[in-house]
Amino acid sequence: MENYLLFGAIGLFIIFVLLVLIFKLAAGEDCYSKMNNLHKKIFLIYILGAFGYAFYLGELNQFPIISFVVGSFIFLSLHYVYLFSLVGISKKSISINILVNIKELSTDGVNTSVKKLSEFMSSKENGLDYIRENRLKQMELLNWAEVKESQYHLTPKGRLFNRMGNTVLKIWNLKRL
Amino acid sequence: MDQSLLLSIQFFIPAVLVHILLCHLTGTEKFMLKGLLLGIAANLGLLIFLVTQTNFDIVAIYLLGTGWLAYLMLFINLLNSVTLKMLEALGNEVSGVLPKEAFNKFFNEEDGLNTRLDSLSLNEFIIKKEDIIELTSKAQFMLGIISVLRKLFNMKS
Repeated sequence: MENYLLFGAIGLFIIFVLLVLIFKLAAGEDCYSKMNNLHKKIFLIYILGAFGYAFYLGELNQFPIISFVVGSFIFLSLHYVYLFSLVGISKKSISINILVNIKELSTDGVNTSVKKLSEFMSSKENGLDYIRENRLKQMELLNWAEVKESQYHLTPKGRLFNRMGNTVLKIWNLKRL
Repeated sequence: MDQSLLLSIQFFIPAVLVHILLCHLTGTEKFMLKGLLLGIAANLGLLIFLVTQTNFDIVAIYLLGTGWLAYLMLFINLLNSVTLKMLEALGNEVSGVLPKEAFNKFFNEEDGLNTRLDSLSLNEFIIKKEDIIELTSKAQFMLGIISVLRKLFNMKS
C-alpha cells in the first residue's frame, strides 16, 4: 500500500508532465487554469486509486492516513513547488521579462538605458502598463476588489488577505520591495 | 513514511524559528540568499543525522527540502507580488476605495521599472554603470535556462 502511495504519486506526476508537453498546456494565456485543471483531475485519480487499492487489499479499515498525506504532498508539491513555479517564472515573472528585454536590446547593439528599456517595453505587449492592467484584473478575478464606475472597492475577502499578509510580514520583520 | 514526516518536521520547525530570528536581526535584504542558505543548512543537518543513523531516508530529505522551498515561495510572493502591493494600497485607504488612476501612481513605467532594476542590481543580475545597464554572467546563465524551458513547454512570455 505504501509503495502505491509513494510511487503512484511520482508515476502519476510523470504522466501529468507528459500530457502537459503533448497537449502544449503551458502555452497560451490561460495556461495556469489548464494545467491546474488537469492536475486536479489526475490528483482525483490518485485519491480514488489509493482508496480503491486499499479496498482491494481489504485494508480500508487500517488505511495509512499519514502515508496518504505524504504521498499527496509529494504529488501536489511536484506541481506547485517545481513545475508550476518554473512555468510561472519563465512566463510571467516581471524581473525575467525585464532581463529578456535588456538582452534583446543588447543583441540589437543598443546601449541599454532605463529610458530606452522603458520605451522598448512599452512598445511590446509585456510592458509594465500591460502588467499593471493584468494584475488589476487578477485582483478582480480573485474577488479581492470590485470595480464600480472606474473605482476599485476592497472586498471583505481582499481585506482579510491583506491583513493576513501584513501580519505574516510583521512577525518576520520583512518589508515589501 | 510516518517516520519520514516526523523527521522532516523536527528539522523544519527549528529552521523556521532560526529564520524568524535571522529576519529580525538582518531585515529584508538578500532575503532569498539567506533563506536558501538556511534551507541548505537544515537539509545538511538532516543528512548528517540520517548518516549517523545509517538510514538514508530520501522521503524525509524531499519533504524537508520541498517544504522549505514552498515556505520561501510564500514569502517571495508576499514580498514581490504586484497584485499584493496593489491590494495593500487599497487596504491602506480608510474607505477601501481607490480610483483606477491611483494605481498608475503606484506602478507606472518609470517607478515600477526602477524598483525592479534596483532589486536586480542588488541581486547581481545586472550592473548599472551611470545610465547604462549590463547583464551579468549570472543573468546570462539564468536566461539560458529560461530559454530552454520556454522552448520545451512551447511558451511565449
